[in-house]
Amino acid sequence: MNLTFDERLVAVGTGIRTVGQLTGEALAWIKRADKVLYVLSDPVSERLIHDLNPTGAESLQHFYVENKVRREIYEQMIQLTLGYVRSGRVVCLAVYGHPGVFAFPTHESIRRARAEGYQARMLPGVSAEDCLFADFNIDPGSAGCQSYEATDFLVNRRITDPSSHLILWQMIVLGDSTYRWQVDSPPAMRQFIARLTQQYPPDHVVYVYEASIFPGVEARIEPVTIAQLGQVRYTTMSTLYVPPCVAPRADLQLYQSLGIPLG
Amino acid sequence: MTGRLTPFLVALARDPELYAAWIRQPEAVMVWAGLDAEERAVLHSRDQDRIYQALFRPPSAAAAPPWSIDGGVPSSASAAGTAVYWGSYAYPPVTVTLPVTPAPPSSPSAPFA
Ligand SMILES: C[S@@+](CC[C@H](N)C(=O)[O-])C[C@H]1O[C@@H](n2cnc3c(N)ncnc32)[C@H](O)[C@@H]1O
Repeated sequence: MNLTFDERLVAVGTGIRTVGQLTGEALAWIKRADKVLYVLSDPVSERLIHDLNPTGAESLQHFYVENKVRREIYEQMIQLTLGYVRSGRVVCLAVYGHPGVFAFPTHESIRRARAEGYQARMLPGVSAEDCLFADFNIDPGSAGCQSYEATDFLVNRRITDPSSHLILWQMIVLGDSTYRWQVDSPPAMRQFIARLTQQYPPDHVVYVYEASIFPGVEARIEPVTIAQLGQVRYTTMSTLYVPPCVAPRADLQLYQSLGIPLG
Repeated sequence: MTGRLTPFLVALARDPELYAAWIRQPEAVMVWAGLDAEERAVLHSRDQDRIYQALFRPPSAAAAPPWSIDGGVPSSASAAGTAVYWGSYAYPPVTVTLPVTPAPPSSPSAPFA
C-alpha cells in the first residue's frame, strides 16, 4: 500500500513566538494546503503565512469585532472552514500557540469535518503554558498543575488545590462573553479576588504573565498580590500564574506502608 | 527604515541556520541582511512594543530584501470511545468520538490514553 496523506483539514499552531516555535510539520502543511485560514497575533507570522502560501492565505481576523459575542465569532470561523473543506480544498487552519489549547474553533472544525467523513488532524504546537513553564522555570510535575479559563474557574466553582500550580487563562475577558482588546479592569475582578482569597492569603504574590512574541525579548512577568489584582493592566496576552501557597497534605501512613522515603 | 525588518524575522522563522548565525553574531547578520541602523536598534532594544510598532512602519525607501530563502517545494505535491466535555463558560459542551487503539484483551481499555 502506498503512503498517502488524505487529510482535508489540518489544524496547526505557529507557537507563541513564531520565530523559533513554528514546527517543521506545521510549516509543511501551511505550504501544501490549498487554503490557509489563519488567526495570528503579530505581523511576522502573518507575513510568513503569505510567503509560504501566497495564493491560499486568508485571515479570519475580521470576524473579531470588539464587543461581539465570542461564540458567534467562532461559529463564523467554523462555517467558513467547513465550506472550503466541502468545496474539495485541502485546508490548513493556522492559529498562534497550540491549535488545540483554548482554541474552540479548531477542535470543533475537526469534529464537524470528521462527522462529515473528511480526514482531519490537529498537530501540536507551543502554547502559552509551555512558555510559562520555561520562563518561570517550573515543572508541572513538581506540585501538580491546574489550568482553567479564568471565567470558568470563577463561575463554575472549580475545585482547586492551593498546593498545586494554578494557571488562569483569558484574564482580559474575565466575566465577559464578548471580545476585548484591552481593559483597565475586567468586569468580574471583585468576585475573582473574593474567590481566590477563599483559598489563598490576600498578600499571596501571583504573576501576570505575557510570553514574548519576538526573539531576544523577555517575557512580561508582573508580580502582584491577590488583593491588588484589580490594579494591573491586562491585555489579550495576559495569563495569571498562581504559585502554590501551602505544602501538600501528605498521607504519612501511606508513605510508610508503600516504603516511600519522606522529603 | 528599509522595510526589511519583517522579512528578516520571517527568514529567521524559516531558517534555523540563519537563526543560529544571528544568535552568534546579531549585529553582523543584521548588517548582512540589509537592516539599517534604525531597524537594528529596534531589535537590539529587546522591547516588544517597540518592535511591534516598527513592523507597521512603512519603509522610508522602497527596497526589496536582498535575499530569498524559499526552497520552492511544489505545492501540488475499531473501537472508538466517546467523551463529553462539559465545556466551560466560554466553550459549549461537546460530545467527542475518540479514536482509540484497541487494547490487548487482558488490560483495561483506556479511551483517554
Ligand atoms: C484563545 S487563548 C489562545 C491560547 C493559545 N492557543 C495557546 O496555545 O497558548 C488566548 C489566551 O491565551 C493566553 N495567551 C495568549 N498569548 C499569550 C502570551 N504571549 N503569553 C501568555 N499568555 C498568552 C492568554 O491567557 C489569552 O487570553
